[in-house]
Formats: sequence, structure tokens, C-alpha cells
Amino acid sequence: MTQPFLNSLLFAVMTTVFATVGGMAVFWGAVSASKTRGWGESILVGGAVGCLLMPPFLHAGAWWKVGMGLALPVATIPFGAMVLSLQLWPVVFLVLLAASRRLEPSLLEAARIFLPPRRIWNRIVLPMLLPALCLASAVVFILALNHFIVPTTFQTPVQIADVYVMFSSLYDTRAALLQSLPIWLISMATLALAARLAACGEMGRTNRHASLHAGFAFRGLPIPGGRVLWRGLGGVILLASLLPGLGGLISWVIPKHDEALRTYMTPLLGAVRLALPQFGASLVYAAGSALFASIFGVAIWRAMRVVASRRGGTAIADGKVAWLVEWILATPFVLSGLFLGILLIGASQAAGAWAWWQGTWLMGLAALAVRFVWIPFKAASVAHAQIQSDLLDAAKVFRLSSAATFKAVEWPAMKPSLATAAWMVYVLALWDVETLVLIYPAGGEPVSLRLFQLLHYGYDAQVGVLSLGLVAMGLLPGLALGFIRYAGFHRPSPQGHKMIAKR
Amino acid sequence: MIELHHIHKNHGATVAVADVSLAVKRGESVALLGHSGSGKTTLLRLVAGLDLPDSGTVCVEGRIGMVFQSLALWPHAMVQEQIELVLHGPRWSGAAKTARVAEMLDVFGLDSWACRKPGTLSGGEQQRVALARAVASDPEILLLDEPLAHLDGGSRQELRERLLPILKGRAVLIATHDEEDARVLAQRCLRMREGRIV
Repeated sequence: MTQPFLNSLLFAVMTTVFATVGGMAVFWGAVSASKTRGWGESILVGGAVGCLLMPPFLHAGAWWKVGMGLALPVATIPFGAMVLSLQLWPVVFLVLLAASRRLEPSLLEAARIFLPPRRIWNRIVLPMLLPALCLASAVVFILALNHFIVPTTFQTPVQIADVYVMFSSLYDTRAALLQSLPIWLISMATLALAARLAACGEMGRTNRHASLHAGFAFRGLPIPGGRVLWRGLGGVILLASLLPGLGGLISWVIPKHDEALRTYMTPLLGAVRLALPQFGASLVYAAGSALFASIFGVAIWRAMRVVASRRGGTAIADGKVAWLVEWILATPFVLSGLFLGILLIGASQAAGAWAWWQGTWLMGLAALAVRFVWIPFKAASVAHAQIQSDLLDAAKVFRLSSAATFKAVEWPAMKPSLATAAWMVYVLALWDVETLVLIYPAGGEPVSLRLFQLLHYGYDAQVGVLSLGLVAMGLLPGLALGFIRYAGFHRPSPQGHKMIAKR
Repeated sequence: MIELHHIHKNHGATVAVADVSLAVKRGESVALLGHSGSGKTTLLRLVAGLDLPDSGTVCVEGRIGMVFQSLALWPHAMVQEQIELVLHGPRWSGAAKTARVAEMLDVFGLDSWACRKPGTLSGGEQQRVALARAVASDPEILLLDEPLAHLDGGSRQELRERLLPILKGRAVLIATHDEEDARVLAQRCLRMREGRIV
């Protein structure tokens, strides 16, 4: 085993441990905030989503500055693992929260009646949440093992960085794939194990109506260590994850005094003006991949449902085939995007007829759509599972066709989840560096790649203003969607007027 | 064993329990009869200490066993573990625990399902497990929320007969909408409507 491979393993294990502990601590913080009727939990969820959606290069760059300022050993594996875990703990937190929201509150009430407090946590709560915890930790491990930006920023020689350097200098696909084989094998095995855990786990999902907030199920239970401790710890972890990135963004953009303002403004505006083509490229990649990934994801999910219903069983939609399809779709998402780029270049070189598309926009769009197709697919299947079975049964009783059932029952219920999934793909594609770094066409460099390069040369002001532009671009569809929904809700309907008139 | 004095409980703007006073002595079974939403379950939850009353006092003396309306069987635990888990403290160490688990499995006819998880059992079988778990630790107070709701006619009759000797010597509060269950299992029937005993 080579040193970079060992470094990769150590980096991934340390990140997993830190992120699991952090995610659990914030989870207890959310549970401890049960008396706040859910708003405490909402703040933590909002912060966690914010951490996940923060551009990794921005987060890593800000922590590099903080570490250097405090004279910490930044170019080490533990520091890099700590920084990445501050971005990945939300995976553990959100998975635990989702599992606990589905706990039937009376299961814990029964525990309160029959068991002493210590045994409630050891024998009831932990076994019910353990599959979710293992699943989340496995996902964090794979993401950390395949992470490119954070270890590269912190100058940790990991396997992925080695593969990148080797491939970009020699363009030897076979050698690059062979070198990355151990990472692939470990990731795929962990992913398979995680998927099995998720499928077999008993998470107490007897409750069809998920609670409004996780604290609802845990209300009245004594929390080991006290509620104040966990609420405080959760808040500290959240702030440590968000503040450096946001603070860095603001301090890089806003100059310290008037004189600096004059000298800064020209380079800042210049940076934006010069980067207009890059912003355009980012928009094409993000919007295009969101569109294609959503269409393909829903089409694959729909095809599986149709085949399952024609065969009169659920074997395809819910059984081993579904598990296999999900595993195949999730693989490009959790593996490093670098591998996808190497594979596509290798494939187009091997197949002469496809050589034309190397270095085109289409290749970049295809790579991003393949990488993120799992998100809309998963959103569709989860949203469908939450539709009341009575509604689908009624459609069966009244012999609605498959298309009519989709239009009348499934689509209205799944629409919000699919819109959210499309937005997630849009944001992730906007931040993406590793998928495009090897395959972007000449003149098609996105902002994220320019930022990644600028970070290395210390152009802080330019990094700040371009990041701010990218964050604004990321929020734009969400704000537009919110505005449209708000306007829709407040538009008086003709039917409403009629009803009032009748009264 | 159970004493309630002028209990009031609201759920938001809805009055769940209004000015209820009630006493249940050792060896007495009391049935609360009423339609859905009449406040029976809320009253049981107040006695169990799962909810606090808005006003009034609840005095409970003794250990509590309870059958939940939703049964609340822990999905990860096998039938015998459901019973084992509630047997803790010095009285239930080693052989005593094993013997008690075997006894409960036998009394409720659960021997053949001892190593199965609740998700693999029928509604009636799950009901028996919930009852076995409620009485396993030999509690002085038993709260039964629709204890026979998931059973058909024959099984219901059989389980009523099994339950009768088990209820003896305890303070029992049963919430049910089935008059026959109330008549057979309880010595005293109280009718609830809109949160009040009428």
C-alpha cells in the first residue's frame, strides 16, 4: 500500500469519526430543543443544509486562513479531516433526524413507562436509530475517501490528488483507473453495505404520519448530560461550520476602510466583468444538468414502476432489481467526479466514432447529469413512498390507467420533492470542480474552476466577489420559486369569490 | 391506588378532559366507555404521567403497566425481548427473569412466536404481546387502552377469559368503546362524553 492511499484511508476514517460525533451532538441538540415547538430544530436544519450547500472551496479556503492566522498545523491530515467533517456532519444529523421523525412517539412513551432512563437510550433509542447512523457514517466515509478539494487545499497527498496529477500529465486512462482501483473497491463495498443496512434496518417506521419535529417523539425523556449541554454544543458546531465561510466571504468582499474601498473596487468590478463568460458557462452547466438529471431520474423511476405494475408485483420496484438500480445510480454521485472525467475521456478515445464529443459542452453536461441523476431518482421514490396508500388503492379500484394515476395522484404529491431535487442538482453543479476539471471545453470554464485556481494564488478579493456571485446564482431559483408560490397563494381565486358571494 | 381530583386538560383550544375526579382502589377494575375523542386516552395518559394536567391533581401509588392503543411494540425487539426488557430491578434477576418470560409466553399463548419481531405478527398476535408486556413486571396499576381492539370475536372472548385472573388484585383502568368488553372486564363502568364523566 502506498503512502497516498494510506493517507486517503486515514483522512476518510478521521473525517467519518469527527462528522459522526458532530452530527450526533447536533442531533441531541435538536432533540433537546423539544420545548421550542420545533423552531430550535428548524434553525439547526436550516444551518445544516447551509453547510452542505456551501461551496467546498470557499469553506476550505476560509479555514485555511483561520488556521494560518491562529498558527495551527493546517497542512496535516487531522486538520483537513476536521475541516471536511465540519461540512459533512449534516449528513449524519439529517439522516438521524429523518429516522427519528418517523419514530412512533408511543414507542418511546412505552419505554418511559417500562424502563429506567439509562436503558431507554441503550436498549430502545440506539437500536432503532443504529441503522440510520451506520448508513450516514458509511456515506460520509465514501464522500471523504473520494474528496478532492479539501485534501488538495490542505496539501495532503491523498490517492485522488495523485490520480489527478498522474492523469493530467500522462493522459493514461488505464494507469489512472488502475491506480484508483482500491478507492473504487472500498467505496463500492461500503456503499453496498450501507444500502443493505438501509434496506434491512428496523427504524421503528410504524408511524405513517411523521412527526412535525424530532423533539416531539423525545419529549419528556431525560437526556443524558442535560439538555443545555447538547443545545450549546449543537450551536457551537453549527457556528464553527458556517461562520468561517460566511465571515471569509464578507471580509474578502468588504474592504476595511475608505481608502481601501477606492483601491479595491476597481479590481472587484474588474473581476466580475472579466468573469462574465465563466458565469454564463456555470449557468449552462448548472441549469442543463438540473434539467437532464431530473428528466433521466424521473424517467428511470417511472420505467421501473410501469414494468412492476405490468408484471403485477412489486419485485422490480421494491426488490433486488430496485436495489441494484439505485446502487448503480448512486455510484457516480459518491465517487469522485474525477473518475467520471477520466472514464469519459478514456471511452471517447477508445471508441473512434465518439472522439468528436471530447472537449465539447455536451460531455460536461452529460458527466454532470450522470453524476447527479441519483438525486431526482431518490427524490421521486421517497416522495412516492409517502403518498397515502389509500389514494393509490382508490386509483386501482377505479381502474385509472398508469398515466392517469401519475397525473392525478403521483405527480401532484411528488412535485415539491422533485423541484427541490432539481434545485439541489443545480447548486451542486454550480459548485462542481472535480467533474469538470478534466473535461471542460476551451472557452467553457465555469466560475467554480476559476475560483479553485484563484484560491491557490491568494487573490482573496476576487475569490470573495466571485463566490458571492456564485452564491447569488445558487439562491436565485429558490427565491424565484418561493416568489411564484407566494404570489400563487395570495392570488384570490374566482371560486373563492363565488363562495363568499353565496354566503 | 389511583386518585384524580378535578382534572382539566386542553389540547390547544379543544377541551380533552374537564373536571374529572375518580378513584380506583386495589383489586378494582374501572372501564371508561365513550366514543372516539371523548377523552378516554387522554385520561389514561394523565394517569401514566405521559402528559401533565392543566389543573387538578393526579395521585398514583404503585408501578404502572400499560397497553397502548397503537400497541407501541418496539420494532427491533423479538417477542421474548419485549417482555425481557421490562423486567429490571433486583426482583427480576437471572432465573426469575427467565421463568417470568416463559410464564408470560405460556399464559398468552406466545411460545411459538417468541423469536419473531412484531412486524411479522398479525394484529391479534401483536395485541397479546402488548398485554404480556404490560403485566409481565407484575404492576400494581394496569392501564389498558382499547386492549382487545385488534381481535375478532373468537379471539376476543378467549383473551377476555385469559385476562380476568390477571386483572385481579390490581387497580385497573380500561378505556374502551366496546360495551361487552367493559361489562366482562370491569366491575364499574363510567361513561365519558366531551371530556367529562357523565
